[in-house]
Amino acid sequence: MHQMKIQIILTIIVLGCFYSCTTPKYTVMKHSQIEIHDLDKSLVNYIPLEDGLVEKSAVLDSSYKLIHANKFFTLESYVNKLEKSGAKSSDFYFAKTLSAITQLNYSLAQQSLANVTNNDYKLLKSLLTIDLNYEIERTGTGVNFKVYLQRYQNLIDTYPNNDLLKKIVAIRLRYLRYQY
Amino acid sequence: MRNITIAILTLILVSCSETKMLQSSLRKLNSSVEYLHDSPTTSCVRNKQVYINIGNTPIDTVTTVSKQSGLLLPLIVFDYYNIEMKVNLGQSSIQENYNNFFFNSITEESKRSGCFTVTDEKTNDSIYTLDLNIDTCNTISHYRKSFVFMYLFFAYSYSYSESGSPAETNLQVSAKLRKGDSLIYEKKYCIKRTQPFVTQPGINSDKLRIDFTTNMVEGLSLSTKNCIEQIVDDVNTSLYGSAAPVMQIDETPKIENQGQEVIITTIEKKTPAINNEITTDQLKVGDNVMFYNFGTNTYQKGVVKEIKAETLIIEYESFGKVKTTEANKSDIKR
Repeated sequence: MHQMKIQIILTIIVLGCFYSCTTPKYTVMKHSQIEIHDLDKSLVNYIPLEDGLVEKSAVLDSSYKLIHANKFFTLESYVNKLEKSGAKSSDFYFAKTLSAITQLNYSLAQQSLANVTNNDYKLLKSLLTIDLNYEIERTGTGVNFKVYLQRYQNLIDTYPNNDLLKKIVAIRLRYLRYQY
Repeated sequence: MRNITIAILTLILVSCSETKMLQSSLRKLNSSVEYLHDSPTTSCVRNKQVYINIGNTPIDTVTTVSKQSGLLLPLIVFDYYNIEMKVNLGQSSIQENYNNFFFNSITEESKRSGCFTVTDEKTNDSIYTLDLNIDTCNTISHYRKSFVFMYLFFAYSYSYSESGSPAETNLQVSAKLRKGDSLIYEKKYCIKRTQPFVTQPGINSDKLRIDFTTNMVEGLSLSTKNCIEQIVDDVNTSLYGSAAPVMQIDETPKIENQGQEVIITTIEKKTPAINNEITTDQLKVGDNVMFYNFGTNTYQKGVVKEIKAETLIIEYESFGKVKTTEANKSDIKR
């Protein structure tokens, strides 16, 4: 009987891990790896990282590789280790934001994102600020569609020539409509 | 035997009232038809005024549900019913009044990509009139319910499922642009769109119906967006031909004293070089420069931000971010 209980618990854990690993809501991706023409049919919420940004930052590069290997707990340990060593750069705080997003800890992600001050992250910070507010409100009092529509509208109007951003925001709007 | 008879009668009654129940449920739900305006903003001169007149939309007042097909097998040990219903979207499921929404959206779109301004005045002969008549505004979808019940005397089993199909929108709009009595252009827009149904596994029927309504409204919303963008584009072409007058704008308004324009070719990431007769000694802070970025394989605009003893700092915009690159004077080609 005891063995059966353990088996049931393990099955639930395995299924839970499988579900959480195979259906991430946000996917971190380099610009060069996003097929912009396929985005019309896509339902993946991309967090687009500029290739140069990943290449010039060792912290971001390592975090990116760990996320793509689905090693979310290793990423968390890596970020914690950096924090203990006194890391306070924008690269570190952005990596911590990504780590928190993979753990679905949106409040922590929001706190970390607030510490990202480097101008290189300006667009990503604006995008993720709206996303994280949405995630936090969605689990709380609910989301006002028009408020978030206007926020995304303001964002794409700030970067009118960024076609990738428009496509990415259009996908986010689908999640917003359905409140997923 | 009595219980079985009651169960079968209940099944028949429920299957007959399904359309009414679904209709009543869907009429309590609504969704916003607003969408994201992502068309590129134009810099053309808006010196022509257009009065927009929109005819009444032939959209049903309320959402209606009608039975399309059904199958009922009320057997003693095995009961099965499957019913497929057709849902027609009505105004009651849309948060905004569709007519007002259409007018507001075309006004907003004209501010972004239109080379004209929308006016409320109708009387002035110099003003163009755009008559829009929404001939068809029809969004339909299909909703399926099925139920299986097995009675095995010592045990029973049942399963119940509901599912929705992607919404299909048919939007037809007739447009006539006039100036006084003369007709400038006339066109009929026909938008047919199938909107993929986004839903998650394991949701309850209440959430499924909310998503179902949202899917129908989303289909109508994106069809309207498509139609409006086409109309504004055609009005632009009708008013100005293929070339609308472009407003002269200062692309770098922050710099008051703009100087010479030169082309700088970046040989490596940090080693730009000038390929004409102008030397870096002749450049000053604030000068506009074009440099070749080997990362993106394109020419990019930049502004000289700082002149150092050996290098040149150039600021440029990439993916919405302001970046800087450093040119080494010793690597300059002449």
